[in-house]
Amino acid sequence: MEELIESLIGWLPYAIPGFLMGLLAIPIFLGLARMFGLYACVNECQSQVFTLFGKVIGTIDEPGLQFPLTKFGPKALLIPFFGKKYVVGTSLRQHYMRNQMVNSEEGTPMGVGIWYEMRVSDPISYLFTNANPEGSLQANVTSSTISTLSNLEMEKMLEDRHSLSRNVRATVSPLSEQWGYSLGSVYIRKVAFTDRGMVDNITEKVVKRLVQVTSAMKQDGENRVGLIKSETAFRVSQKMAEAASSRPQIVGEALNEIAKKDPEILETVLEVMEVENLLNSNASIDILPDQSNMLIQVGRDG
Amino acid sequence: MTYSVFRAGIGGFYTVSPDQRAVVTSFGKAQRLREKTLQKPSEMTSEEEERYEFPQVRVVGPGGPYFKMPWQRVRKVSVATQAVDLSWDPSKAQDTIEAVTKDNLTTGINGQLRYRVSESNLYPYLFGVASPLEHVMGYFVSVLRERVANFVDPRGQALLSDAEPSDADAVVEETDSAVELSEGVSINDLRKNLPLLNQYMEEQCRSTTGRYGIELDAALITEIDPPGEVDRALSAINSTRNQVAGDLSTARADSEQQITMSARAVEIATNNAQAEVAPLKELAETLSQIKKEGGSDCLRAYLRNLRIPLFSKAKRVIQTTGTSEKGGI
Repeated sequence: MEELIESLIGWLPYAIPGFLMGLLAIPIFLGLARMFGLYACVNECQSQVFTLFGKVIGTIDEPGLQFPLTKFGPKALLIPFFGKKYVVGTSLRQHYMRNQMVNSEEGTPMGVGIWYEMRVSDPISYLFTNANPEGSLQANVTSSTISTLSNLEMEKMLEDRHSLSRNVRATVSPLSEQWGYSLGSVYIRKVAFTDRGMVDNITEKVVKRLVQVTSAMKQDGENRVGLIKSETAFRVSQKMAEAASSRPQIVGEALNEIAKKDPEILETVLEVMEVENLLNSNASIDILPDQSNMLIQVGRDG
Repeated sequence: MTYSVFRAGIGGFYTVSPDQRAVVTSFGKAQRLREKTLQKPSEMTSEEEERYEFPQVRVVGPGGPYFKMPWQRVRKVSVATQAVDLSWDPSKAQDTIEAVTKDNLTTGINGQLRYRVSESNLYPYLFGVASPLEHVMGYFVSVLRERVANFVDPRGQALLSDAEPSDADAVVEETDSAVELSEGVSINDLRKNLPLLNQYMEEQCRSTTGRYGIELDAALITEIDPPGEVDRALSAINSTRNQVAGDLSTARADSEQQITMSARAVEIATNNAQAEVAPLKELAETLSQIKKEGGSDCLRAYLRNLRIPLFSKAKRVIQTTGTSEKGGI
């Protein structure tokens, strides 16, 4: 262990200059190798197109460490001097075109947003066939969208957009291939009314519909309340009538019962109650004889 | 040599945190496990599967220290769940996104997407797609707007029942439909069925894993903002609904009270009548007993006896001469 530490300490004076030399020399060496095209590092989803004397000599799209010399032969060594290396990304990209103007069958101006994906499928065509492939692709998508959607019913335009998107894609795809692009998914991302007045009219229509709903709801509520009240009045009046008729019914039943047993008893009962009530009433009482002319008697005494 | 030792030894170690996954590239190339992704979401068509064909790469899990060579690069990515506003658009500043409903109303929509980078399909996220989140948003918003434009309440209630109620059941049906009178107004249908809309969006976006290497954890559409006047009209519906409910409750309470009162009135009248009848029955029973024991004469005697206090209370007594002792008073 001590020997190892001693040897490391002894190695230190050489290590620091060595490290500094490596720090400078290795990057310079690798840079020169790259500059002379001895090797190329191709990243994922990347293509490198090599031209020499104005001609495309080949493409490397296999990711990793690549040696142009093995692919293109000795002329690869001339590329740094008389040619050029183009790096093209082949990853999936997207673009959103807003507010493309389309008229519906009814003549309504609509704003359409088209979102599409694309990737470079042929780097050579992409670089040299068209000076502005993106712009051309956009123009084609726009033109195809307008031709697909123009004069369609507004309802279809709004509700059937996915199938319309597929139509747009089918139309544009062959054209995009010419410029080295392969078109991915295409979606009609937005269909909107551009005329403010129309938007306001539709809003007003919906508001009126909601007002109508409110009125109907209110009316329905009033009807239901009225129904409850009328049903209640009916049931209450039934009950009150029942209450009013309960006395005659009960008293009558009792008197009938007594009368059925013995009418004389009933007569007596009533007489007893009359007398008792008369006594309790504190009324002025005159006792008159039976079978006499009461007025003569009273007049004479009075 | 010394530089290489230092470069490889000191700069060659790396760690991956728990919320991260890493992919190592050598000279720019990621190490592949297979050239095609094993599982493809069933939501994708065969043509789409072909278009979104990405290789499966070796993923370095959390932990370390790991060692890499100087010509290797480590691409780390967070696989933790993240959230993004529905209105997020790098090319446009906006607070909400617009959508047109089935009844052509332009409304604002807002919410949040919860997503995470798919560990099982890291290639598209790291290499295959230039801006994966933009793609996810583009796809999501397209599908969402299409759905909003087609959305109707799944229960498909009729707006206004034309049927005339012919019996009690019809009345009940009519009152039930009245509560749902606002069915068929798209904005109302959407607001009432937000969970359904969110569920639909989640189902539709399952393919984003295969497409862009992003798994959608949840679509949370939280706001559907119609124009102010529509919102006020919707509030009026709500107020009316509450008012109607209140009026109905009051009417039912009054009704119950009145019915209870009337039932009590019947009970009171019955009790009063029973109270009136009780002494009659009792007296009749007593008099029957008197008659049973002493006959009608005894009954008459009892009556005569009962009248005696009348003489003490009488102001005057008119008596005819020659009357019998019977004294027909």
